[in-house]
Amino acid sequence: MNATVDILLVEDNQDDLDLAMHALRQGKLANSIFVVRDGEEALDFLFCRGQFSDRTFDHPPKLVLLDLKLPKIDGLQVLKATKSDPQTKSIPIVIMTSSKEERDMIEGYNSGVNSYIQKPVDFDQFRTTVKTLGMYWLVVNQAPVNYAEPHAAGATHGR
Amino acid sequence: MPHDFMPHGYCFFWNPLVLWLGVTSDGLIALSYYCIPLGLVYLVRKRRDLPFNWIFWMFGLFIVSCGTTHLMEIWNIWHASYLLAGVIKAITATTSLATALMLIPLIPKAIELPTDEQLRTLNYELRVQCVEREQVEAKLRATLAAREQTLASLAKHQSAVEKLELAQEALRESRQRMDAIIQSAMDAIITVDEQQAVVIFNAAAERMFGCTGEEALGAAITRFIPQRFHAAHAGHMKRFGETGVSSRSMGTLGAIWGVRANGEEFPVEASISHAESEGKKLFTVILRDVTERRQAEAAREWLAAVVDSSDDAIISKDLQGIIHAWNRGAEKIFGYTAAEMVGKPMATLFPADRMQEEKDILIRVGQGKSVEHFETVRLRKDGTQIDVSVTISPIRNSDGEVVGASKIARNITERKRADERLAAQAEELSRQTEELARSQHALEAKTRMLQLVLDSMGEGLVAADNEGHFLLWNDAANKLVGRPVAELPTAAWSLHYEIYLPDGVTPFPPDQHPLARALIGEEKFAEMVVRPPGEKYGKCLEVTARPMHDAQGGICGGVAAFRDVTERRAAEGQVKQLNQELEGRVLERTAELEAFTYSVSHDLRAPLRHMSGFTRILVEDFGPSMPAEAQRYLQRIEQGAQRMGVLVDELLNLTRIGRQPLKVQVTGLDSIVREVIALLEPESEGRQIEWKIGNLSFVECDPVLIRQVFQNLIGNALKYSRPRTCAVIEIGQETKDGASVILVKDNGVGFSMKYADKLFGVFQRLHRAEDFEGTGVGLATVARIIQKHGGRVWAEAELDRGATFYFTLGGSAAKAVSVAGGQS
Repeated sequence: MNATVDILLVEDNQDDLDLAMHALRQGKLANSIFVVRDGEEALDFLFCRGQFSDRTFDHPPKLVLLDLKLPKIDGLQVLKATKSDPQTKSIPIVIMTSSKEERDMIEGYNSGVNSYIQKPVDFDQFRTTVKTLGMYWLVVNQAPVNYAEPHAAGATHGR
Repeated sequence: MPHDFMPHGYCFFWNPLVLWLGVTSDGLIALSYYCIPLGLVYLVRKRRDLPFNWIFWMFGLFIVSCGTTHLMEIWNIWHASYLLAGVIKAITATTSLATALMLIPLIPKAIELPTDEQLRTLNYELRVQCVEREQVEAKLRATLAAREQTLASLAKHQSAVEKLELAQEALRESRQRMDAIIQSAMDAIITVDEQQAVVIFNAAAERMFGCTGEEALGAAITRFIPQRFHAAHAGHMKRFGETGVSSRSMGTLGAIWGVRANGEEFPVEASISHAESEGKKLFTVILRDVTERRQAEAAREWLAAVVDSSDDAIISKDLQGIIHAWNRGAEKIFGYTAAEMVGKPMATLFPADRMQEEKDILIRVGQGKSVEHFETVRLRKDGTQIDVSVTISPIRNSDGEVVGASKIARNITERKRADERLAAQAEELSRQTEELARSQHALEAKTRMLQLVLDSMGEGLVAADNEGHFLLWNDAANKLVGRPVAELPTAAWSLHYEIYLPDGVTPFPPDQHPLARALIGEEKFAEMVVRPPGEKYGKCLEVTARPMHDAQGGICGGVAAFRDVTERRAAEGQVKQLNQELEGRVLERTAELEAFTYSVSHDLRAPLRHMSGFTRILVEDFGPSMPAEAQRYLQRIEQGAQRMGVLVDELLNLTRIGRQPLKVQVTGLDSIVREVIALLEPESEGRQIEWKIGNLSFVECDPVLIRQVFQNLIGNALKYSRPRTCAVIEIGQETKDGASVILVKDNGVGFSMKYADKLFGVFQRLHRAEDFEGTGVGLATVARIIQKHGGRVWAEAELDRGATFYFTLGGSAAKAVSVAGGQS
């Protein structure tokens, strides 16, 4: 399972997941979305281990949408682990959360998060936000060809 | 002696019969004997012509004596007064004997008394003789008439003789009168002849010269003239004799002096006349002693001088108030001369408003009363008014009638001023005295109070002089230290009083003792432990000492105050522990609260988002197939979810403000306001709004929070002015009671001030959601932020007349204003 993943969606709540998927779909961004439901799964996916051990670091997701409140390992820990490992730290991570806690924001940015977004209650706004995010990170933003430093030789699979 | 004899009753053995027979008989005899003389006396008095009537008196006398002897008989029956009885009997015997002896020669005379017959005969003879006498008398009268005619002719000759005698008599009388006049004249009259010998010297002359007429007559007149005038006198007399003038007054050329017999000289007033008598020249001098008059004149002159030289005005006036006399004092006081005022009415001196006074004075004087030391005001000639003290007394003529008044006036203008000055000085003095007494009293009270304060102080107080000798040592000090004061050098204090450092074991360094430091001019605080004798644990004392300065600023000693803080130290330990516990609890609670807020922000918002999101999806994806009503309901669910989302956000914001510290920086309010207005543009779009933004200063504040404040207040102003066709919103800054106040004012619907207290409470709304949307958190947030800044927020409004919200930013704002001022 080393298929190309554009967006890794880390979301434990089904409702949020559905809404996010709906918004992504409407934004035409749902082509290669992979969903994990807790922090552990997310780290396994990102670090290519456990059930995702067949994955390789040279095909990281183009964007991680990370919730903060997650079972087992919370979002911030996932962020820190990811951003503190050279193999994964260049993966763009956007925190999408209900909380607007400054504490979380500060910790997030200190830990290297690329963006912090509070999910608006208004669905229209949410939709717009998700669409904008996707467009930005997947289309506008230029990512290096090879993400992972140790595996610099690996070629991209493209879309 | 009466006791020597027995009463007569014994002789008849008190036999009643004999006794009472005797008594009755004697009594009746006595009665009868007394009655007989009464009859005799009556007879004698009625018939005064009775011959020998004296014999009846004799009879009477001896019969009374006889009666008395019988009364004695009765007396002696019970009393033995036999001697008295004997005496009475002797009297009786004498009178009886005398009567008998006198009666004897009378008897022959009594026999010769004429009888009635003889008397009748005599009467007849007498009548015959009478008739004869009347005839003789008639003859005699005829003879007498003839004689009287002869006498009348004789009398004519006699009257001529008598007239002559009368003339002589008159002459004699005239001379006597003349003498009498001369003698009785008040003036001395002396007549001298040509030889200057005195020929007449009357009584007045005698009195004047102290010399009798006898001595004077024949003496030379020079005897009565002082020696020094003798020569002059002779000349005078000679010249007078030659002039031929009959009389003139003397002394026209100088005073005339007389000399008395005793050598005393005296002034005289004299006139001289000369006359010739029997060919002789006689000079008569009439002299009057004028010593008294001269004295009186001198006295009068003296008095006049006194009156004239008096500084007081002395004026006399008649009862019509016309001035008669005006002295120099009056001239000086009133400025008018005597010539100007004499004859003028007194009223000239009266000011117009005091005219009644003169009438009253004249009435009073007319009644013979005086007015004394009456202080009033009078006019001077120059029109100025002067204060005068006036005494007015009636003037009486010799008959005692009031004819005028004397007035003595004194100018007291100066005195009055002096009195006023004196009174003012006295008042000032008494005020100063009072003040002195008051301050002394206050000082005493203060001293007493200080003593009281010292005695009742819980703090120990010790004062020492420069050498460390204790001056003062109150009860509390004794109690705290536990040892009486001792005269010790400062270095020995720690050892003597057992003073240790707070650790309780290290002796307190003597040179560090606060009082010792105070004596060298330092202010020193220290904590120490003192262990009084017999106490196991020491007392913890807090000692503060300060130097005492004398008036010149030099150090004259030190004062140390100390208090027992043993319990406080123990209590402080407990408090510290408690505080630590509390702090721990607060941390715990804060953690809990944060966890709660965290979960609220996550967990409460999530369902809302879901509701909102799915409803929207439902509407979008299946809307066209749904009835319109269902679509509307879905819309309302979505709106409700959104409202709740806003509410939760705002609540979270509110709690966050409470928890987060302020991040203060100098902020320009103007830029914040303009940002906020720009932010709120969607609200104001399409509306007519007049913005009035005043001068806003730079302040020190948390800009993020203050921005929220303006966002809320301006948002509200926009919201509640929505019904106005032209909203007027004013944002300004003004100074109220010295504080800088920022205001946001609108002309919106306002609110009733009776709900003003609810305005800043969470979830409190004064308007219905249908009219004006809102959560009821906005103003609560504003209040929280302003409170956090140490400021104050309030509102003034009137229903339908707009509202004004004011806030201050506490001390930080004032500071910022000055910063702003410095920059501009």
